[in-house]
Amino acid sequence: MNRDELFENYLRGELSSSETAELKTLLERDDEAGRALVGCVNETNLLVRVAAQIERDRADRKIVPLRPPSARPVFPWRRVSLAACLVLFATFAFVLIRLRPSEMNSPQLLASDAAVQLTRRDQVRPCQETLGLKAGDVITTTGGKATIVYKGESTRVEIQPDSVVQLADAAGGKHLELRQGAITARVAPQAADQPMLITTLHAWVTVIGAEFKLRADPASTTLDVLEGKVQFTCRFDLKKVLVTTGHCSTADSCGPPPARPLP
Amino acid sequence: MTEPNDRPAAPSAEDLLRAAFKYHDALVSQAFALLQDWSLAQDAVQETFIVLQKKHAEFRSGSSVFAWARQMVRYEALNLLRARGRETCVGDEALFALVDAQFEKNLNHDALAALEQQKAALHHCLDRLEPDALDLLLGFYRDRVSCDDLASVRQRSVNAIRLTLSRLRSRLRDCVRHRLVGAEMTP
Repeated sequence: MNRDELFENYLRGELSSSETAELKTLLERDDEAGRALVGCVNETNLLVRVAAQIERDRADRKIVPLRPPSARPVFPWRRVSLAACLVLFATFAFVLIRLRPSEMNSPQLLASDAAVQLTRRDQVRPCQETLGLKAGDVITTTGGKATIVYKGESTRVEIQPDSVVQLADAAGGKHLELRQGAITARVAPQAADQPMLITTLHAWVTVIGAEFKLRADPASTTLDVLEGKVQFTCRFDLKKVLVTTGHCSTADSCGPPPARPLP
Repeated sequence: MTEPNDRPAAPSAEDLLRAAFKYHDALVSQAFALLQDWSLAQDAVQETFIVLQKKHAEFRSGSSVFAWARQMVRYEALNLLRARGRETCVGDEALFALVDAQFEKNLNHDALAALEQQKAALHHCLDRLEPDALDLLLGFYRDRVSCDDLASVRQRSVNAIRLTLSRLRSRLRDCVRHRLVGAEMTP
């Protein structure tokens, strides 16, 4: 059972004796786990509180006064307007699909080494060729390197040996999760409202256009910016630093210190 | 020598309650962690506010309202657990103390400020969820309905329910993250 599942089961009062012992040991020995537990509880509490508030608000809005029945036959305005909306939507979708450049910005994996594995929906396979990537894919490099490129732009993310990277859902821009290891990235200019986002255990890295190195291990995350600007946010206290060319910063469970010049 | 009537006066019950209410979310989090039941946590915090009002004269001006309220929440949570007969072995007490210690250490003022920002972002993100998804989240996390019962009511498999919950949490985390980080990014 992973840590998040342990915390979730704890909050539901569903821990077995061995899981209770495991949680106690974790909290006694690992300060980081303690912070994560507090974060998990806060997140769940806010989720319930806000969701309950929205549920009440929606229920209140459903109460509408009854209108007296009209003697005259009523023109079916609602049906007509719904039909018109559907026609407009279908037309818009047709135009958008025809005009949309096919497969723009879709990520691909370039791997020339048998020591690179792709895990998709729990199925693991080695990668030695160019492969289209999907949200949820996990790339593991043991001895070799792999590169993620995005069609239609020059963004490249080089995954270093002994690293694990997952593609997250890219609803609002490119999004990777660096679970462990290191990447070297050159990110082409992105739209301001769709920055590239890279998450690690300790930090969120937000990029609109920059070249940088990022390393993540269980204790800390280190960012070295080679060119451009990168926003570096601590996940625990949301403190941000803007790291610019020739500077670096490290985040651990206590937050990122100010950016300092690269050694 | 300081005379008793030179000490600063204790705040009024109203002022103390108003000050404590700013920490409502943090106090419910703490109670939730200790009681593992969101509704009970709400009860514990409500009881704490009642006690705060009654004992406002005991509060020393200049002390931390949050620290005082936290102690009372801990006390109320322990009372609730004992009343429900859930304190059955030393192991539970030890875990209670460990969890409480983590909140003592990590729920500092920076974390409180972050909580407020997260709440605002979460409201935006949850408001965009379909009613069915909201209902599922509340059923699981607030009402503590099991995945088996949720699956039975919705005529889906247990694994499908678990996967849906996991994806919803992930989607919400991403949405909150974008709200918190993306808006302030400057090129």
